[in-house]
Amino acid sequence: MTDSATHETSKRRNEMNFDETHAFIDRIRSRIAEVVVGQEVVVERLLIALFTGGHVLLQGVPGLAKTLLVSAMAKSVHLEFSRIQFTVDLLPSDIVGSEILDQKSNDFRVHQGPIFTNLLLADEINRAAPKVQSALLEAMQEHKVTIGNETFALPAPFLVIATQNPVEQSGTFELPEAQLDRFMLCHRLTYPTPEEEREVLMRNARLGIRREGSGAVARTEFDVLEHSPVGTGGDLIAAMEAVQDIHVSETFADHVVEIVNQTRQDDRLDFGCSPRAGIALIKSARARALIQGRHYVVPDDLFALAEDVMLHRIRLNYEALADGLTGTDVLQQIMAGVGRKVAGRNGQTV
Amino acid sequence: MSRISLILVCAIMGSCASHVDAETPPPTVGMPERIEQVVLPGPELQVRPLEDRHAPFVLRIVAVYPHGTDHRYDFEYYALEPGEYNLSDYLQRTDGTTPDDLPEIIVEYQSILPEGQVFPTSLGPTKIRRFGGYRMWAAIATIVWVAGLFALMFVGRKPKLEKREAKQETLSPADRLRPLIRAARRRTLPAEERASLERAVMAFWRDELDLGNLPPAELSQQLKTHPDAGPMLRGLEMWLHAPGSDPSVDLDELLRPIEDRLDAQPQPTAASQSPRDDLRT
Repeated sequence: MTDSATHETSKRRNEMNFDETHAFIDRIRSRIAEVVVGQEVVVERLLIALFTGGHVLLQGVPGLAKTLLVSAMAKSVHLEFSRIQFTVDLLPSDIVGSEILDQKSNDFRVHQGPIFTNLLLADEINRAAPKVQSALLEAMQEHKVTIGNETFALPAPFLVIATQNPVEQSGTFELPEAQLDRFMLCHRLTYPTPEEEREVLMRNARLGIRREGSGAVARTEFDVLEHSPVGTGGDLIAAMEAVQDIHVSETFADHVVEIVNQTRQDDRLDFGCSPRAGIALIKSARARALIQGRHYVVPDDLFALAEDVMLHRIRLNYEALADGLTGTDVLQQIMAGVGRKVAGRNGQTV
Repeated sequence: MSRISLILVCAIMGSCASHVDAETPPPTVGMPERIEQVVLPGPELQVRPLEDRHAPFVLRIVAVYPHGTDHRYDFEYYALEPGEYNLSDYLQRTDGTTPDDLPEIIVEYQSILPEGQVFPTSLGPTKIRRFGGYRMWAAIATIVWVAGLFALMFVGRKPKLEKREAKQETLSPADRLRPLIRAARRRTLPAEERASLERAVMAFWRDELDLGNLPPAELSQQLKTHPDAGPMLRGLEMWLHAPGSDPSVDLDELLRPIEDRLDAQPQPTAASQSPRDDLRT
């Protein structure tokens, strides 16, 4: 077989893979839409994290269907799902697991914690003590945990979706910047629109009750979750491979470098983004392009994801805070400003 | 008073005197001293109440013992000024009357300050001047602190903001865009300037359509729906970002509308032309 024929075959296989993946993504979104109204952006961000092996931090008040969303996603892709409610008295062993003395054999056996799953919902991560946060974040980074003298690899894929309430700050331990940097995306959840909220209410009103033994309980959205997955682990791997086939132009990389550099030079920021932010931008933009049905990334991907990727990686200085600025304001001004200040890779400014 | 007791008093006083006259120097100001077993005639005595707060001599009766018809006393005293003091002057009967049959019991106090030594300033409250000294310095420090706070909060911030804006507004998007567009249409735009071209095109359309306050994501969506800006940005995307599409895009045709718009505007400044001469090959 000639080189051109091989290339053609590979191209056809990639095209098929791309189409199948896109169909798989549509099935996931449809399945989640059966129980969660709206939140398309959050679903997209979770898919991005799932396909790129990143982790997501969701900031939002309670009651925005975060658990339902993650549960629906786990069931639709046939992934294991665990949820940990973080509290101030939580211990690292409560997450990772511990060694337990078996009274029969008089020997220690390992009890694996809830971290041994594919999708982990770390609810209100900022309520736990720093040592617990760091235990989780270490596992996120290393993809393995040590219990006693033994090291265990975490299942693949392993995705942590952490949540924190941005309003209530008493009794919380704010995640330090170095740990926030581990999250590929930090998405700020918003309330549903009035139309979406009306739909939520009407759906909830139709749920009815569920008989249990001699009594009955009111059904919840969790009861209507379909348990049959819309795809297999193979589909997920194919999607992850398809992300790697998405083309990233040098021009796009230049855009990323320029915006990341601008955050480091802006005098309203204490510090800008690390190189990890640039890597996360490229990764997530590729996944978004796949979800949007494109074979290549475009600036729209950058604009859509910049806030989620960069906002938790920058910190305003006191002067900017005194001016009443927010991180969003500064980031948007930076992104708008890069078009005004034309600079090539050689750094010369027109 | 019996003869025995008088002899005893005299003997004690004599011994005191001899003791004082001996090599033992008199006590110094402020140091407490004791005299014990002093027999004084008559009923029990007590120390006169201290009426003057600034009295230079203070006497205290430590213990009293009956001594026949008389009494024996243990005294403790101290002086705040040098000089000789008679202990009997500080005693009275328990009924408040002044005894007239007491012998003199002289004690001496000396100062350790050298001759001519100025006494320390009295510690009594002194009136502070209305403006000056501590009050003046406290007022000055407060004014400086408040002024510093205001300076931190306000001074230099507006100029810095203006400086930043001025730095960004040195050239209009049109001035920056013109050489880039010309180079792109001639296909002589260096690869490292392509990102600049795309950003400058977006900035140009943003100003052209007066969409300055929109967030970049919304701005891009708005521009894509515009009849002139939309096709151009999508074409640029194809050329810049799609794999292997470089030859398939007619850049000359794609970028002509924007150059026509630029030509309809005033000619570029000299400042905008000189740095980009390298693009006009």
